Amino acid sequence: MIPLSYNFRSIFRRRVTAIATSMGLGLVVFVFAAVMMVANGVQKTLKSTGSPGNAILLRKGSTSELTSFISRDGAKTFAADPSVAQSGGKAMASPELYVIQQLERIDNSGPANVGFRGFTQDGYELVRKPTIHIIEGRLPAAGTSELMIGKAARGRYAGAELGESLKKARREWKVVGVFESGGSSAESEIWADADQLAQAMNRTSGYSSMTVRLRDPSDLGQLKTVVDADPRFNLEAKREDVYYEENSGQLAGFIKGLGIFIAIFFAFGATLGAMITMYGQVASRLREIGTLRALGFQRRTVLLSFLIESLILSVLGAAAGCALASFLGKVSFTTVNFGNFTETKFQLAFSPNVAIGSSLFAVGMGLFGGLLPAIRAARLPIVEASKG
Amino acid sequence: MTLTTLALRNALFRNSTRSGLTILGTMVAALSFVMLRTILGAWYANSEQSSSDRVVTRNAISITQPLPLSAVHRVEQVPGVTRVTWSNWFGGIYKDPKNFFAQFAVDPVSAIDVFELHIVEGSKEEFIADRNSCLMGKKLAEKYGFKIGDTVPLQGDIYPGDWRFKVAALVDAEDASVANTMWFHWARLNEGLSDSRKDQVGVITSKVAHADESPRVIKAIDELFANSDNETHTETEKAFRLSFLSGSSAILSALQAVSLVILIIMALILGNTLAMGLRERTAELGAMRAIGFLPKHILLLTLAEGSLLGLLGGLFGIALSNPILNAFGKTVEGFGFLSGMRFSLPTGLMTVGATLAIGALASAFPAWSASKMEVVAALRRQE
Repeated sequence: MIPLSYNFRSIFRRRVTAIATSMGLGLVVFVFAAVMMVANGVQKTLKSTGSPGNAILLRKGSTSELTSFISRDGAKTFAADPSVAQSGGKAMASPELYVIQQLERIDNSGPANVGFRGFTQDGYELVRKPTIHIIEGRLPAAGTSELMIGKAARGRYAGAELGESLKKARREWKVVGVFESGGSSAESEIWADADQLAQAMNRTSGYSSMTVRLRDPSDLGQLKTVVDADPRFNLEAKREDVYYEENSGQLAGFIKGLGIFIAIFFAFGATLGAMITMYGQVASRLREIGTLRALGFQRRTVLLSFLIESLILSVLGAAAGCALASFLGKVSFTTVNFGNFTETKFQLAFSPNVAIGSSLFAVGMGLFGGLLPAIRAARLPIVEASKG
Repeated sequence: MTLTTLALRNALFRNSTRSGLTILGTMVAALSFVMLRTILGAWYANSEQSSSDRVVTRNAISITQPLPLSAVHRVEQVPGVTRVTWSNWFGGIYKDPKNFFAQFAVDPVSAIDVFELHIVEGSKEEFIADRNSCLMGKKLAEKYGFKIGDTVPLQGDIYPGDWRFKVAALVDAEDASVANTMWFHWARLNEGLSDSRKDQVGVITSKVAHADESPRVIKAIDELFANSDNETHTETEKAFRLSFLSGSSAILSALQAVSLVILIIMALILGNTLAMGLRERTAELGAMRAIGFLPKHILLLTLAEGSLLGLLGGLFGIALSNPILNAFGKTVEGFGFLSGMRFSLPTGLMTVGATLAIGALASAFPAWSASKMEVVAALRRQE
């Protein structure tokens, strides 16, 4: 094999060209990695909203909490199911009302749909407390028009600030608390007393969903059967995190589809860039190639050497692209979640999978870009090549 | 040989493999640029097609909160309003959630008037007379193979249950979204609902005599419902449709950013090619300088070469984008998503302009360094 130092030195000698090529590859890797991070972020944000130890009860066939309905009787019946954990003699169940209200964005970019969740005091204490942490202010008092707002909604909409109030549905809702929830989509919501919200929205007939803590995660199957078999309520039970993950499918799929489409186009361009560079390398090193062959290196050794050189360029590009993409790990963006039409803040997530995926992508570009020039180098007749 | 022909020959024939690859690379970049720009354009176009002499009224709480049917009659009384109709988003599933298309429950007679629906097949009278029937957008019918007289089963989500509608007529309109929409009788929806959900409407669409009267009408409608149990939010149909897009603005800005990245990649490919070419011809450039060409000639020569490569790539790119975009547009429309995505001349011209500019820009640095070269050093250099 031709020593690797030969390749590194050749690249170094043509460093400007090498940098331009690697940068082109790197930008494509960056775009590819960013897309993967956005799609991952959407999935992760939504999945972390649910807990594997909880089950959520929804109307059979409903695609989101928005179109789901569970009557008060239904909520009472299944909260008492033996698979639901108990604490201090109370069932660990949180019946919730989920509605959309339109709020004006503070940056004057128009109104946005914001998810409002009506909760009960018991539901918060028994089910939600471990994941919804109040970081400022306090919990809204029962039976009042008080609100607590998620960290991501804070300051984004007019009135969404501790101590201020929101005028909506002919009421003045006073913001008394701010909560965080580990970056989950709940942080984009606004929470109010369930009964008060129901009255304001004319939805007093029942709740949207009920989340229960399972006695043991393995009890899910049992709860599912009981809920499914009861003809009075037309409900179904799902593991909470699975439900939220399913909810992310559409948006994540859309972003992935669009992104991969773009990345393939870009990759084609960058592959051509690598090909141009490698052809240039071959053309300017004819005499070297001739010498290598004359020294006894075989055609396939020369082919391999040029392919390796192209791979080195692509690995440099991958490293640059991934390094650039890792800075995006701190970035978050707010967009409409297609699952429930509300604005949700998503956190981009860099993971080893993203790095591996985009590096493989880069290696593919390097291989394709380097193959034809390497074949050309290998095919050169010794005599002609030696003439230069 | 003039300087221009020299630039042409250098750009195209000196190393035809490299020139070909560069033009191909620029072409791909130009193609992706055109496509991204067209997708962005189409995203907004849906709202542009809406008529500004129509205003949309809905509950101020949010789009998902209904208004009482009685509100329709109150809107009718507002001076300046000539015709009023109402609709409910049905959101039903046809066989599989993937088969997404818009369905509205509407008041048949007024909806055909207000939305300016043209019946292209079947009978309007039959649709109006039969409350179990529906109107179907032409493209939608083509996509799923619905014919007049077929029954369309829908699984309700917002309005649970199994619903069936008979196709009475196919419609088309100026507005591209119409061709992908289905309408059925609001009365049929209403009679199937429980008492607590009866007599509620999603949005009220009013036709205004003159577009310039819209602002006054909007104000009058909202004032009518101010401080009532059902406060309203009224806006032009265009603003109404744009409000659905504003939520996706993060995705739109990302696409904008990505379309800039493609330009950078293009610049890198072009710049690299030019730098390589100049390096190979260092001695030749030295000779040119030695026989009296000035640095500015070298500069111009290189700039011309870069612009030429960029221009050619751009031209090939948009030539190719025309058929691709039209095919892509049709496919996407088939999904009932982003209608009216077609090649447009302004976008094409903008792309060619961009590739030309980037060709010149990418050659600027190699050109500058070539023109600054010492004649003696250049002549001596062997590659």
